[in-house]
Amino acid sequence: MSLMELKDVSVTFDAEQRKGQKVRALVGLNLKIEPGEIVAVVGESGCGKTTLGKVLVDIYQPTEGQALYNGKDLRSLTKEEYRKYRLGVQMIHQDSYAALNPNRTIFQSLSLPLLQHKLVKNKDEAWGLLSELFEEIGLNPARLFLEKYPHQLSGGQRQRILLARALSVRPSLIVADEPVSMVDVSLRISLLDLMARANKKYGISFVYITHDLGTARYIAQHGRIAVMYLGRMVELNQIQAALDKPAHPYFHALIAAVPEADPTLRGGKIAQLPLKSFDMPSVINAPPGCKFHPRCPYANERCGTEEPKLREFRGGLVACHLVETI
Amino acid sequence: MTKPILEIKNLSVDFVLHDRKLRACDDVSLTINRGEIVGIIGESGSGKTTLASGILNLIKAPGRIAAGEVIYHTREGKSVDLRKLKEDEFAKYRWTNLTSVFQAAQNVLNPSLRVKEHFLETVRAHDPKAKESDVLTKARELLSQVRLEERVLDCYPHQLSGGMKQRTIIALSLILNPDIIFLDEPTTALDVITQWYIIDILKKIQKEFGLTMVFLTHDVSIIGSVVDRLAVMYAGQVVEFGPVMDLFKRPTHPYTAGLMNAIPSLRDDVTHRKAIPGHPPDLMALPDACRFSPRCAHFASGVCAGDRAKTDMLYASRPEQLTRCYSWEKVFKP
Amino acid sequence: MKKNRSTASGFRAFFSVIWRNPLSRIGFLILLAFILMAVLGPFFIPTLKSNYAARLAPPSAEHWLGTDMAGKDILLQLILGSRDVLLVAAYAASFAIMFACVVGIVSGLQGGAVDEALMLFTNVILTTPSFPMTMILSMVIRTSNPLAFGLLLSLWSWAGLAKAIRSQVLSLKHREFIEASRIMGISKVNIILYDVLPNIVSYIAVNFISIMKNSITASVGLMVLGLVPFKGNHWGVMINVAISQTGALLGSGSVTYFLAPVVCLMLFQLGSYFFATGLDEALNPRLRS
Repeated sequence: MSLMELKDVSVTFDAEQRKGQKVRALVGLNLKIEPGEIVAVVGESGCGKTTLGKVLVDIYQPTEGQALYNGKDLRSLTKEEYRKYRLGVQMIHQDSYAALNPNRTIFQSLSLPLLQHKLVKNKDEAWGLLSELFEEIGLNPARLFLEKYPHQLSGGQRQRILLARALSVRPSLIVADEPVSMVDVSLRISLLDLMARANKKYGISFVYITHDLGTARYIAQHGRIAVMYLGRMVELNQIQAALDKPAHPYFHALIAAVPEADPTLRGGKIAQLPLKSFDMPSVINAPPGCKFHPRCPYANERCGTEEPKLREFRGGLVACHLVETI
Repeated sequence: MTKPILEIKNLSVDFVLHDRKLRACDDVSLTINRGEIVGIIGESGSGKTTLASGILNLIKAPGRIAAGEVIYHTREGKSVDLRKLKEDEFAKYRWTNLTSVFQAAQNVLNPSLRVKEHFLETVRAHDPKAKESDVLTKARELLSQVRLEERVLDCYPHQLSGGMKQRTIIALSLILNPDIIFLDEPTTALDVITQWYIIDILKKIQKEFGLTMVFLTHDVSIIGSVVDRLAVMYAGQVVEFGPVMDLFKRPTHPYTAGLMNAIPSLRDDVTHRKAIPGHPPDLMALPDACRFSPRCAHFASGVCAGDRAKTDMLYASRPEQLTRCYSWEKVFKP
Repeated sequence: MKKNRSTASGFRAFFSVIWRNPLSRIGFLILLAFILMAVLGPFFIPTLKSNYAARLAPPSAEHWLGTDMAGKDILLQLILGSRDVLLVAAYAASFAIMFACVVGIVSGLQGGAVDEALMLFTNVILTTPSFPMTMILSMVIRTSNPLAFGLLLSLWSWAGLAKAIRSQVLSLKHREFIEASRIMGISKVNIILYDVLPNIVSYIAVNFISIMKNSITASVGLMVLGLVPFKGNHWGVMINVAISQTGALLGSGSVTYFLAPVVCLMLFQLGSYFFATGLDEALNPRLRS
């Protein structure tokens, strides 16, 4: 039984600007997350990866389909089971400043859930638990950080605090939504290392949502990668296999577009990306058939009318009619 | 034949808050040659954005330029110290000689004007008699250079995506045939594929118009494929400056070396990556030592004493490379 | 232990910001003077004596502000009256804030039909002119009890603040830290107490001062118009009596009788305004350091 499973999940919103129109942020998503594994979810803005993260933490509810925790539908959990789920699945936000209460000290913010859920008996115990946790993730001396307000700390420090907050309730799964994109580049790896350590030491699963393939590869070295496009999952595979031999044409283009710093690893310069058109269509007016076909250099008639389903290919899943021939 | 177009000499920019002074840019000196692309890399607190604002005279209270000169050499051979100009004199140079393109998230576009009105307004601010048809013809040309369709002219900014807005701003910045263009994090808020296209467009435009470009970013990965020379900034100072390939392959400052090593990519050996320990210094409470020393492995191991006085100047480490690390010979292999 | 330390340093930080800003420093001192006058004044002054021989006397060494038409010292009346003035205003502001908070927070957090209903109600109150309504109410509900009077004054002053609190709550609701609290399973009550309230406290404090000064003006206005059966030495009564019974506005010798409370009112307004300018900065931890 998987730790968490999304079964045919679709999430549809009302369009903000245009009344009456619907935005299908997520369509027919299937994903199983096992205990202790790391799954990277990649895609560009508007692909639905953030919505997926919010469905996992039950901030958005599926319009269709089910979200299951330990095999049971979230909507059918008893109060006590739901409480366990709440503590069991946590989230790390992208903007560490917005994710902390600006008018409370770090200790006040982080001790509140511990006290409310009775994970500690009193404030002293909360202090002790948090101090230990802070020292473990490299915020030494803990007292210095616990007494400060969010604006008095740097972005990297705040992001570590978000990780500590998530870890403090002993979760089984952490959804990290672009956790390092607002952190200085020289510090990103140290934060990813902390997450990898938490994964190894406590067996916590991670769903790492990002548009940066480099960091996705770093953290999900032995895990899987899911590629999203316009609300649909178009490829799912072990990460190294997927990066070495991308199956879906969109993923292929995405990899080609990633800049490589080291010139010796760059290979030949790409004169042109394997894409027919530049701009991504809006989620509201998604094209018929395969959502990618207007930009796909290989698209044929069938691609324009029939939406491909995810099917097995080379050990993973791909949603493309022509994947064998490319 | 390399002729300098911009000489920044000993520029210092201070911010004063509640009687405490923060020196965001400390004694920065750089020479930019005509027709080249210079990159400035820096993370938070490095001072790179302040430097760009300082050059373009965009510093507002509580910031002020404390010292230094910014000498601009025009096409006609004149030399002007931009620092000495009054605001209205400087305004003449803005858009016609020096333009800037900032992050897509910072909306420079007026939400109540159509794109074509932006072009007309910009041109008319410098030449009130310009004919509308001339301006729009040029605008159409520029838009096609940035791969935007003509219909964009009739759009309002909110009808355009982030990538389209960015390309529009790039086209707008070129309407008055500028000499030198400053780009501050031009692709940071954009998707990978859009980023690739914009970099491609920038390179093509630079070649076609012979522009000088100053590219500021924190993204090490893209800068390598774009710029000719690179300046690395840390804690308000330039710590290394030289041809980009040399900085990558043979850096002579521990921060540059650390930075190159800290970025995970798609094809490298993952186990070799290492973050730089510690965090950027508090500019209001700088140690009386080399600013990078708290994070430097060579300082920690005793190879270098981190003497502050010795870091007040740059040293020539290789034929065209300058570094602030006075122990570079001990630390880096020749 | 640790909590007390941060509270104490919080107070120190608060006052240092108020002191640092010259305007708010002056405002604070003015308000402090009034509060001291209101609270301690009545204990230290002798009883008011009528002395018809010395009625309507100009300021002198014995009577610093002169006397009224019964020979009673004006300064003493002012001091005695300040207690009622401030008490009524404080009650009015407290009630108004309570109503505004409840309506604003519930409306903002709940949304939907509850929000629409509450906002309809609030808008009706907001669009009816407040002073005439208060006038009518005070004619109908004749009271001289400071609490009741305060409540009456508050009825038409909470609506604007409720809307402002609601929009603050709306903007906070979608902020990531509230979402993070929800993901951590924090109860709704705790979210209101610890996430929402601390972020609107500075807003409320600034508005508290502002509503207080508006209430003083309103209460004085009502008394000048003779609509409130207030006995005693309330400044409004003083002004009313000065105008109606001694012809102060017509240039008679009782001009200090009229001016003294008016000047006090103006000073209080000024003091509140100045103090409020520093209050936002003082309560916001971001602006403090």
